[in-house]
Amino acid sequence: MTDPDPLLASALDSLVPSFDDAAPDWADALRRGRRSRRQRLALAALTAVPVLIALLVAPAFGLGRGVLPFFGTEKAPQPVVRDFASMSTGAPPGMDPGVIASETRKVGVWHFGGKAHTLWVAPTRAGGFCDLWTDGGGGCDREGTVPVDAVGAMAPMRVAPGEDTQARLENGIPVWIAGYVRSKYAAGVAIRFEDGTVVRPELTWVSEPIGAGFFAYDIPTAQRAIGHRAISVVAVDADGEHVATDYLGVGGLRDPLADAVIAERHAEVELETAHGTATLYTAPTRYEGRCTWLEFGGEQIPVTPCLPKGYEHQAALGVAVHALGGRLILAGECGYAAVEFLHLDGSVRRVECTDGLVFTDLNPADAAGEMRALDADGHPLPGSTVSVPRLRAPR
Amino acid sequence: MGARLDDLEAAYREHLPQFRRVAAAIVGDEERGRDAVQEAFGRAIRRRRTFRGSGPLEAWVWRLVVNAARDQARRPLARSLDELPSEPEAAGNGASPRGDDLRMAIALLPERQRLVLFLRYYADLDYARIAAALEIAPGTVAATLHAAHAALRRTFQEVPR
Repeated sequence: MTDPDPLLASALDSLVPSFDDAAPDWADALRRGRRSRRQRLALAALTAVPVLIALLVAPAFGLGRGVLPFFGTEKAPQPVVRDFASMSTGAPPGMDPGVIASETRKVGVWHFGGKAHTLWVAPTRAGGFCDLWTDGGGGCDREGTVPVDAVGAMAPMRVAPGEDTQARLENGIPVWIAGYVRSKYAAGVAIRFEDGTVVRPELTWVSEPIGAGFFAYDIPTAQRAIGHRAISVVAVDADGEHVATDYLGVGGLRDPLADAVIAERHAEVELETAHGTATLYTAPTRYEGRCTWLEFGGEQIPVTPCLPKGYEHQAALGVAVHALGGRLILAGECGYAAVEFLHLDGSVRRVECTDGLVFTDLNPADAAGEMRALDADGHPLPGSTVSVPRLRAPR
Repeated sequence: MGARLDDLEAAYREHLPQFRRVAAAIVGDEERGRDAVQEAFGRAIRRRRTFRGSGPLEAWVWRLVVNAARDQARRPLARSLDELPSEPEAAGNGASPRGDDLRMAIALLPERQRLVLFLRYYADLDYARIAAALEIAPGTVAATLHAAHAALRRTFQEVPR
């Protein structure tokens, strides 16, 4: 580690007092920490007056649009309405977003990536919305519980012979990002970069039934290089504290449990092994969602991504086999009633899925055979059969 | 998990001078820096149950202090040090940069370089603790501090390394 430069240290010393005799006032910190909800609401009300004035005055100065009333925005033309209607056409059971295409609206036009992009948004019947940026992509959150979501574009990449898709994605360089945060969970959004830079793009808030703030951000040239790239979009609360992370898929920095409120974790199942207990934990998120992971030997092993509310049971079969303490443990998401192990000798073993999860230790016959999902009537799901040896998680 | 109130109070009492110093440097004002530290610990108390325990408590607290100071500044950090009361020029052999020039040179640094510089010099944190506080890699801390030193050296050729 570089030692402090003594001359610089001396010069810096002269700029700011040492505060060696600073008097602690822990009682004041406690008062601030225990500020009552009523006081906070009162403060919010006091703050609201100038904010209201600002909102009334702002349009005259072009400072912002406040909250856009969704039903006051321009209705989409028929070709766009047809595009949104097609999102439900032919969707598999359980995957239909339920978009109300006839209510598709033009939320605004943003300039990024060297061109103008129109943002079209339509509500869904379950309380969510679908969004689509022209020349930019988009998606649907049927339930209205996804806290933050971003789409983006990558700079053209040189692809090495034999390089796989994941490697190409991880070597990608985002050039712009567009997306939203849900207003019921977050007050702002931050884009995080590999070099530690954090940018807070401006949001355009749209009223219910959309209830989200949209943003688009052109990434500066200096941040379009390995080591400086945008890696995630983070929803933050009014204090700037983390609520949820949407990783862009580039680089190797990911914390699969970033959204978990670990303090409120709950041990779902425990399995004893020769080298200790393997425990399946779940923890809530700050957006009503759930994170699931395995703990063994002090190590946290992600089992599923943190899922927003309403999506826990929509996963088909996202499982992996973990070799822990001399045992093979199958854990993961299960959107069905049960799974069934098909042994090589023709016998079967059924394991129930509980609350969208499956967790069991495997016997040698399970581990050598196949597995499939069963519906509530005990019927196997077509196409769900997988080879168990192929489910081994990389270690 | 979560953070215990006793641990927060201990951290507050033990490191108060460093918290005050870094916050004053970020905010550019002693009193507002003090307010930022108090507010940071208010937030820590309110949010102590959300402390995940995946890193040291000290890093979490430093993050809150830095964020509260940045909130308190409410203006570009590039101007913050300009507003500190001017101190008499450091006595010495003439190799030390003048205070006003140093303020300006620091004010011209990118924000991350300033934060790393403040945490290194005003809080005496090592690279690992700075990295944890700012949620960046230790290697990034080293590179950032090196860049800050280089930038200041360019401004003050008389400051040798």
